[in-house]
Amino acid sequence: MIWKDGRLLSSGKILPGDRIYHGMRIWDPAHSKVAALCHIHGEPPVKDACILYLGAASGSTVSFLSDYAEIVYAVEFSPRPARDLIRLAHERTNIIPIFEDARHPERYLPLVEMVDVLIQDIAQRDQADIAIRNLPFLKPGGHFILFLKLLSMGIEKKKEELTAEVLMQIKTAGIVDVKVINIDKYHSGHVAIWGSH
Amino acid sequence: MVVKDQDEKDQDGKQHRKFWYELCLEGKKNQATLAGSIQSITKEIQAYREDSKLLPLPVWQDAVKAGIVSDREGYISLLKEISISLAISDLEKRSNKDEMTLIHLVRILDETDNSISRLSEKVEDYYIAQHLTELPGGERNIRSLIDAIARDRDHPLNHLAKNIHRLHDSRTSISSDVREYASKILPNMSALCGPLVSARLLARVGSRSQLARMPAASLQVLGAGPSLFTHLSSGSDPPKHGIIYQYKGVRHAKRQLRGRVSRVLACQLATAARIDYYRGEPDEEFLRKASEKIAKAGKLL
Repeated sequence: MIWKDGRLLSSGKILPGDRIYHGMRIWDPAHSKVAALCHIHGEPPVKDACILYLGAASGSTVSFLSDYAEIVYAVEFSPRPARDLIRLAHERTNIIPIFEDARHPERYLPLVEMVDVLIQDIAQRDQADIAIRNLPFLKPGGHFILFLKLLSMGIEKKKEELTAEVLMQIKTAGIVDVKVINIDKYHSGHVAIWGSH
Repeated sequence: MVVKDQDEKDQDGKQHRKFWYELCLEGKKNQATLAGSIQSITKEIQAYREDSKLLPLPVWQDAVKAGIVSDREGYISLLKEISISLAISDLEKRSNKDEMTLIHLVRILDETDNSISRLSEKVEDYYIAQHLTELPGGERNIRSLIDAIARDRDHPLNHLAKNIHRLHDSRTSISSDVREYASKILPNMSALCGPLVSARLLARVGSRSQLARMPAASLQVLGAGPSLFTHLSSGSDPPKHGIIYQYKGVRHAKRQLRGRVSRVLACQLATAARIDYYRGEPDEEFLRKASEKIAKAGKLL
């Protein structure tokens, strides 16, 4: 990935609203959890990869991923952001917008191929379940990155407890080498869970 | 016999299962260019999807082998076209145009009311500052004050007063639009508590599907948030009514009966909301019974 003076950059077509450094798009860790993960822990292998991104929202993170990846399948179920995502897909050659609920992968199963990287950023109570339901898309040895918004999982339990529960769940589902990365610095209340299938 | 029938159906279903790009092959045959047939392919994919007849996890090399696309790049660009077309079509299907129009009309209506009253108040303040010695009270209310200024061409606020008049006109026409839409998409609720109140309830909840799933008790206190939370946190009396207070049957009921009327009305509204969402037609039988119950609740026993 492209770094310059401590900034993470990407070389794709510049979109309105992008901040520019040395003629390239700045991938801001405060605005994108994937960028935060790169800054805090390390880069996921997104170069020329085939990526499934769940919870794409209006597609800002997806646009940066598409600068590096071969193809990004972007799933979003909320109508307002989905409109922006569709507009973005028009601009790029390698973004496949999917307007479906990530809880029902069987709805988009016929369109998506096996992917190298599965990234999920969905702030819902059942976010771990959603990720597990989408595991059939991930190649063996593929990378699994789950951004957990702990507050979305209820306020009755402690953060550590919740994280431990999710870890149990995904390990049972077949994810190994699991690391928990705190990205509080850029996104408060979030942790990233990174493992391989 | 029945079992055999099902077996045949299953076999039939299996024979028809396809990868999405195989549908494009047929599309290509029928039309000169693939691009020209994207929309019809989209419709076909949607139909296959609903019947679970699409095969999962496509393999792009197969699409090349079948001669649908020439390489990986072609596969991705065709998939992109199709997925965009699918997303747009699904988006159109899911967004209920009339419902969203009504919700935004209600918000515009409320905002117009706000603007009118805020501007009118400022005009009154101005008038009072100019006529400090005039005795308070008198025959002047805000409305007639604005009327007078709108007639007085030399008054410095003449132009603004005319605009406030125009805002009143806009308000009237928006309000009749709201009534029209609400009677159309919420026929049963509108018949029970009037189109305006029904529209406000819808606008507060956000969609008819959520409204239809709402318990009557929530409908009853919708819009009475602050007093509901005071009740929950400090045990004060619970609110009797929220938005439904605007319905004259509740507002004009005897004080000691208002709670009962709004409870009964909310119960009937919850049912009406479900009929409106799932059937969309006025149900005369239901409306007759419901109105009777509401009327009975308003009478002293």
